[in-house]
Amino acid sequence: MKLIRYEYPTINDIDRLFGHTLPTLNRLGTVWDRLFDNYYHSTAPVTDLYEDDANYYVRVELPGVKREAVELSLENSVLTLGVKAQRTDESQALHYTVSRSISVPENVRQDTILAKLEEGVLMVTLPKAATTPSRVIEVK
Amino acid sequence: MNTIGETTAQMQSAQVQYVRPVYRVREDKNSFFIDIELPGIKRECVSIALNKGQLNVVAKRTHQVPENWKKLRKESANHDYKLGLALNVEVNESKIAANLADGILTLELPKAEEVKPRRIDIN
Repeated sequence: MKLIRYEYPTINDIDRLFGHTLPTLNRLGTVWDRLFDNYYHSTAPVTDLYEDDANYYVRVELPGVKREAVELSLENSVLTLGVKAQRTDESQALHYTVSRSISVPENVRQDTILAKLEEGVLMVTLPKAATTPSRVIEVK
Repeated sequence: MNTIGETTAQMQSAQVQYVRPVYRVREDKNSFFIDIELPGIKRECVSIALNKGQLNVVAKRTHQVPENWKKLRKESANHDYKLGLALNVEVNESKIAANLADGILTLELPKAEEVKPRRIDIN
């Protein structure tokens, strides 16, 4: 089953790698952030995917994003998340767009998808449709 | 790929329990503001301490997914957040304010009187 497209590692991933594993580099953080600040706000947000028997779950970290700024759409089994946000900094007005596309499995019931944004975390619940039993076709 | 990632994570987990959150600093005439990205963190899980110009923010990650959820892809870290900043300016420690909204912790550090810009009139 294919759920997501392969994504090439971005600068964002590299940044995260540093945050995780190299504590001694923490003091370089500011420099690092400044260097990649522009990239950071135009790349894919941190996303987790889960499933249980009834649903697929997509958990996206969107700190500082208001509900009104989130656009979710599902087209041709691709779930696309778009965020248009404007930071209200007096010193630096940051306009940035976050976007992410996820290929959704075929067996999702498209009419009952739920999305909830809480504490900067977007949780999308994609209910699974009852699986249709595979049909054996007899060759004559 | 996965295996390597996990092994590295295990090796590191003994020494590293924290991940440094993304943050931004801005200032106005009276205060410095630090915006720290803490998605999914509850108010009661954040501790902020200022000691001799060293500001420490620790946020515990309490988010747990139900056990029967199968992980298909995991990008978020399991570690708690920790941000240590050495302040090189005098701030009014008693008036520091913190606010957590939409996964962003905003700290307001009012500037101490002696570092505020002052207008000097010429007699």
